[in-house]
Amino acid sequence: MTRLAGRLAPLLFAALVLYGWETLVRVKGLPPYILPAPSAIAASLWTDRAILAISLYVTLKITFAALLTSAVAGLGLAVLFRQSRWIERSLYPYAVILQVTPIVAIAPLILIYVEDPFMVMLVCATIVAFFPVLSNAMLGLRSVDPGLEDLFRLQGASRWQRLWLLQLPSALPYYLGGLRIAGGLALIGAVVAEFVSSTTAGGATGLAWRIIEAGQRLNVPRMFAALTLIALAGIAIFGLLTFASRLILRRWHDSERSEDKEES
Amino acid sequence: MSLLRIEGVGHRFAAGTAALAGVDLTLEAGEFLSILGPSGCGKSTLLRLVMGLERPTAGRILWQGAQPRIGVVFQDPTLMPWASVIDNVALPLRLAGKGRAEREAAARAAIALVGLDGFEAAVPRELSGGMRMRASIARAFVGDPQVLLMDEPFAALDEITRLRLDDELRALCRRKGLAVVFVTHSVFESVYLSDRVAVMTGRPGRVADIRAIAREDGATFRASPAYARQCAETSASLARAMGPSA
Repeated sequence: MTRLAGRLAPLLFAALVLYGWETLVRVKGLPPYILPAPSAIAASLWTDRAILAISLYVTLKITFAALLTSAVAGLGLAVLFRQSRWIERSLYPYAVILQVTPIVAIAPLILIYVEDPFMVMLVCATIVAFFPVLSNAMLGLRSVDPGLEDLFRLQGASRWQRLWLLQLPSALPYYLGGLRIAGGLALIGAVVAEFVSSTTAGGATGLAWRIIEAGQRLNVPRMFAALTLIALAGIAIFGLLTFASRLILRRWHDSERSEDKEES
Repeated sequence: MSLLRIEGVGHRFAAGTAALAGVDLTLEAGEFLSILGPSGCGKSTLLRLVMGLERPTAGRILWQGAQPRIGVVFQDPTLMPWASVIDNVALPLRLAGKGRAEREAAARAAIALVGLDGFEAAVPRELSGGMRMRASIARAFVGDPQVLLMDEPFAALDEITRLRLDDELRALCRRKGLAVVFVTHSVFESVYLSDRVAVMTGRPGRVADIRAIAREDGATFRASPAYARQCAETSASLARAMGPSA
């Protein structure tokens, strides 16, 4: 399989599905409030572009704020845990509890205690996105070559030097992997938070809110259009983080070997 | 007086296995000492004790006067994969808090010493196994050590690279007047490199025999009858040390 064909295969599949979908709607004469044709969704994407763009911006703002918060808090906590077993033993179980409790169950409580709608959604999305960053950073900070650890000990390295020169660089590939997972989760968290908080007045105006609003008006093409944007945003975030990770690691880490070698 | 005295040293792991029992050994100034033994005889453990990474559970390890500056080379190159050769080599100086200019000058000199000039900016993945080991040796030399401790450094390398590095290492240590403790499981390597070879028994390891090697300098030694004879004698000594079960 050549590389070009490999890239084109999923696009070709999408074209086939869309063509089948369009044909089905036209032949059966389905009304748009049952199933809109892809062309109707595309039209909605274009005509509603002003509203959708604002909503996309709102959702992305929450997503990236949550991702950034998770990235900082996850790494910070992991470093703290690495410094003291006692802190880790005391706090880590609660991080796990936060992770395994469904966000839709926690969100109504957050709505009660947090006033600002943006903060509500930021807290929700961060709770969803935060754990993989923490657990990957913890794993990474422990995945230090024992030989290098010996060498640092022999040279009398300080705790700070061990952290900065040895543990953090060793953790980087794991950390970036955690961020890649967290990027998608932050988007999911943002959307879920919007759904939950949309019941309150003056809450969200993001893409999830557009889906609910359009649904109430039976504007199904716009629902699909908003959904399309969410999916595209997720793909873009994943692609962006993958690209950043490759850029940072490609020179030294085995996970980012060039593709020529992988395919040979 | 000896530079290093190992007196009645024994070591038990936390699980209770005895790795070493009653090891007596000395290292003289400027001497190349090999510790030769089968896998699992505790020779690496002995070296870790000398490095100070573990404490012996019995006996004493005494340096003459203050502990000298030590350079170490492990079995793996143990380089930081994210750092360039020059940063890897300069690491001991960085950990010692030396300034950038001083670090780089010393690292360049050490890199030149092992013949890696031109590869200062390369990262370990871009180097061959032999070159990585050269970088590791350069790192051991960068702090201007008085004693070099090496744990089977060339065991993972191909024979051709290994013979070459043996030659260069021997010449380098001679020139610098270093005392070296070199752990190996190769009879040929130990006889070629050393002034003395300590032959160890199986676990728990102790020193069964200490052989003084009569050697001449230069690459001709490897082809000489004296070398072949001493290899044969050392092999026999090792076989006796390991006992009939082996």
